[in-house]
Amino acid sequence: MAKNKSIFYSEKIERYFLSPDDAKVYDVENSTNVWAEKNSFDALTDMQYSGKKLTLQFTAKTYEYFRIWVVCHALTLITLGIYGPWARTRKAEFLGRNWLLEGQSFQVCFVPVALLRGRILMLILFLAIYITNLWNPWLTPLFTVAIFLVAPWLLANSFAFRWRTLTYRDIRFDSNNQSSPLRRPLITLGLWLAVNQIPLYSVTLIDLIKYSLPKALMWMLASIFISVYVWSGATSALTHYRFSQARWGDTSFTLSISPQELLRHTAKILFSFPLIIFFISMILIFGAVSQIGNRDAIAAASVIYYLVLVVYAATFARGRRINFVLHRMSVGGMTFSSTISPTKAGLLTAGYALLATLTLGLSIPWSTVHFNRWRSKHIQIYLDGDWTQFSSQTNLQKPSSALDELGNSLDMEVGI
Amino acid sequence: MNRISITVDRAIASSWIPLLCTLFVFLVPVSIVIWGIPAAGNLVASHMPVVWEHKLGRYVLNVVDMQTEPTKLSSAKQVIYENRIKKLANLAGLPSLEIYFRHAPPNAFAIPGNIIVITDGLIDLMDDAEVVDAVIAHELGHLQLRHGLQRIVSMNLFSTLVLRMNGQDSTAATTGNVLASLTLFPFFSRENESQADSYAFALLNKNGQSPLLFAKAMIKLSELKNNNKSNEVGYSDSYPPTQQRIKFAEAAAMNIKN
Repeated sequence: MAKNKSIFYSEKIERYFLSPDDAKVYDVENSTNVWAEKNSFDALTDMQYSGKKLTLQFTAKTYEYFRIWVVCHALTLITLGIYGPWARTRKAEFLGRNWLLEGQSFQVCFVPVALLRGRILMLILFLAIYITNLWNPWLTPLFTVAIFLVAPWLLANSFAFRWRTLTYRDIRFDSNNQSSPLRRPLITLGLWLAVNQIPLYSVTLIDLIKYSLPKALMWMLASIFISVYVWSGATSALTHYRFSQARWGDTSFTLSISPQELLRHTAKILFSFPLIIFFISMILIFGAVSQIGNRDAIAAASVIYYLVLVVYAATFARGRRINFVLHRMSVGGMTFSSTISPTKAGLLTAGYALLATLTLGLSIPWSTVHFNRWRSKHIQIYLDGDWTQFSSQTNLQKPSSALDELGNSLDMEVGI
Repeated sequence: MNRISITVDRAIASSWIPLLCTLFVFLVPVSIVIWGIPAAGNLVASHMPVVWEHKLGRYVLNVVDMQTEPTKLSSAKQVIYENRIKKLANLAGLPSLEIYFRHAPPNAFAIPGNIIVITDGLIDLMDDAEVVDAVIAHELGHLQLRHGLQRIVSMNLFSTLVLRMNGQDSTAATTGNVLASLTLFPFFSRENESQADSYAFALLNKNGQSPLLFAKAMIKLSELKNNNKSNEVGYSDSYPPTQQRIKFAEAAAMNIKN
């Protein structure tokens, strides 16, 4: 009874955070699969699922993963990070083979040496930026522009690398590594970041705060708005690219939305009235605590503020975007539905982050298994036709790119 | 590599190696944070070429310049203070000290590369050149003990460690960094402040001045901030309690007399 009540409240909160257009999905009745629709978020109002519902499971046991994780982790610490790529490969292989679709597991095949090369490349790049910044702050914006000029190519290769590491039913995933769809949003983001790094920018802001607080506030609000918009534009383009360019064997992924539609959806979430009210109230609470003057209270408020505003809100937004994409994606006769609750995903991620910090990371194996198990129960896959429609005639390209680390640093995840 | 892979497989399957690794994964980072990072900070700071440290100092000074205005002190007053500070710096073994005056609220800070910035606000508030000497002696302590550089090295090492500990889980790593920056770094900062205070007492004594001057400076600063009521320190305080610092200065003065 108590459980039902909690589900009821959770749904009420979800409905509150969804805009009226999104909430319509709850009322649609002309569906072939009522269960999926009643619980799904960001679904298409006229979505029709047909075919067989496939069984998706995540079967890993926490203690099994913990053993692998802790041994790999210790080795990585002992070798000062050199074992890291091999550790990552081992963990990814374990997690991959525990994802079962219709009883068949996924295979993950990393090339650790390529990952190591990528890490060394990224380390050199970050050191170069760090030293350049110390040498002359005016060079940093130029560096940023240069990086974002090559970022589309780097990321396209990184995506392709990641997809190629994944195989199911002996058919490998792959991705076209054409960088053109990523150029505009990423170069725009790079230019905006570079503007923010120009030393004069901070001087102007400080001058404005000194001489006109309302103007300074306007400047800051405009900056936040542009940052959110430009960042969302880049991440929407990346999410769109990640799925629209992918293929499983010879079968391409199909997305029924454009990057612009995805951006509009993201903007709708970020600038939705309840979310803005939520942000403002958090800022006011933080301001009120700051007035108390107790530094420990301010510190505690800062952690809560960070967990709620950054971790929770970012996961909430990302969860909704992934749901939005999943409901509009197909691979041949395969369609997807998601009942992943963005609110619960946000709360879980914030909880995992706090727990990981308090246990010095030892809770990560548990949270990884828990989160994957939870996701496996909330993703539905339907297959119209049979498996013979999927095949691979083309020569498989080996995963050879060493640029995966850049993808990591931009917090992208390719996989199920 | 195959042999290594087989050995790792065996280690994972073993009943005691994962247990040992758990202890290792828990205890090693704790030891690194308590002993390793401060030691590494010291080591790197003491071996970093002065040219590099100076470059870093220039960068910090650029940021300070952005946030402050040129000094409004008269040239004559600047020369007086410069001479007093240089005398102290020579006593401290820092003859290449660079001094910058800036117009800003009361403050003085030491920047890597033997740079000291002193604000007009501080000179006005102290209203006594000898009390200003006490504040400068404290800042010279930070420079002599290379606290600025140590802090930069320690913070970077800590971030790398947190990232490693959390298996590059960016959310957990950032949360760890946020928590650490609010609790652990202030702890190290309090230690640094106490060390700089002790250094200042010794330097003032060497200059024929009493550590009570430092107590006077603290009283004036605490009156300004109105925070002299509490003798307790929170986890996230970057400075030791003012009352405690005043007591230590008085105790140092008593010791010198005896």
